[in-house]
Amino acid sequence: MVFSELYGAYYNVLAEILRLAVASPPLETKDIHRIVEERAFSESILELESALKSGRWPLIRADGTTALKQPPTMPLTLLQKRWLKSLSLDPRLKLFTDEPLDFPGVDPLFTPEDVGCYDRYLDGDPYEDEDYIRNFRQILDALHRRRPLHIHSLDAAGREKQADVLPSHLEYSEKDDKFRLQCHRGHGYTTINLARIIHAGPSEKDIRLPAGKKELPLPRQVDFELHDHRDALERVLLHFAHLEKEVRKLDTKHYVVRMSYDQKDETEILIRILSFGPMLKVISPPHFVRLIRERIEQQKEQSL
Amino acid sequence: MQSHIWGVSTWGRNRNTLETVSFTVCYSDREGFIHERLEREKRCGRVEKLGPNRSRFTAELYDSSEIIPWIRSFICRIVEISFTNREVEERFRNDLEEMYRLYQLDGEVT
Repeated sequence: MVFSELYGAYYNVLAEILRLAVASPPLETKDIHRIVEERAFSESILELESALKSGRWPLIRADGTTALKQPPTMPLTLLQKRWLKSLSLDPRLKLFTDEPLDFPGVDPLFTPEDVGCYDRYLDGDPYEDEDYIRNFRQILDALHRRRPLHIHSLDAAGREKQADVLPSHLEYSEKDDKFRLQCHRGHGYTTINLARIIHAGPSEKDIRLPAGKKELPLPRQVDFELHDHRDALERVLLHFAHLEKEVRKLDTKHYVVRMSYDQKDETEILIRILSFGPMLKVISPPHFVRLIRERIEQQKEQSL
Repeated sequence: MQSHIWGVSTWGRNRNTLETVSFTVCYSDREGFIHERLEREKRCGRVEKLGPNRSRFTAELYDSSEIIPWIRSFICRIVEISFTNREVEERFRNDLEEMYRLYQLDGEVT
């Protein structure tokens, strides 16, 4: 809103029309049509053309010239600068650049201390650690150039390991406040948490995907019945908003949801489904039903 | 105030009084990460190590019903649980019974 309501589609189209009128007058009707077609909506020509030609917007003269001497610019408002200054205080921005946007003398609209993320875990990645920043940039560079990396890291048990990988993409978890790298090693796929990387550097190995192999493994799917009690439908859709889903309505209170997930996240998905209690019942695949059932059975054995 | 809010509610069923919730989980020698999960995922409250394979979480909250989904994520390991708000505790236990029924575990002898 801070940006789109000020310099919206119509403003941008008009700015482009006026830029052309300043650069190479006179402007022809077909130029207006082309720019509107390229940058606005199909019905926009009705409003824009008549406003310009009738003089209601006194920007283009009847002969196709404009009174403007300079092409239009879009200066930032104070509110926009304050918003951008706030974004520049996010420590994650330093992962991408040493020179984040700055507006001297402008106070940020808010600071990171003003925002409390109540559902974020407490062990997020160390965004201000120099080694972390250096490794992050090495990975970004390798991703952009599609080059392999040699990665020295720690596994979940704290053991050191080394691998040559071809990076596929970075993922960020808002809840974990962590980045992880999805990559493949020629014969298989692997995921590396950035905070566990000791050193990332260029690899001399020539790693390529075998012919016909997809860049990432196919996602797994789980089907569950949803009983829409205590706003469960809304809560489930929000909770799993980042995952691809198909929802089928059975009746006013019951739905079947098919959800895709990364195989490596299966345990996480399992405990998240459990967190909804009896509102969700997993119905397939059989191995997922078995995993859920085992946990509930073990709980029953605790005779709580 | 923040140390007594789990989600967004500051207005529990008992109005302004704080509700205590406590649960204990047990885990195997290879599952020490469960204690770490409690530490990293807790938004407030405290975690105590009761033994090599046993940890307890306790918090005083305005609305203890908000923490139920998180507690459920430890299903299979919960060996003790108590809420000072009896209505919330009853709902937690009833939901658990309902889950046993959903997966046809209600009739089995354990």
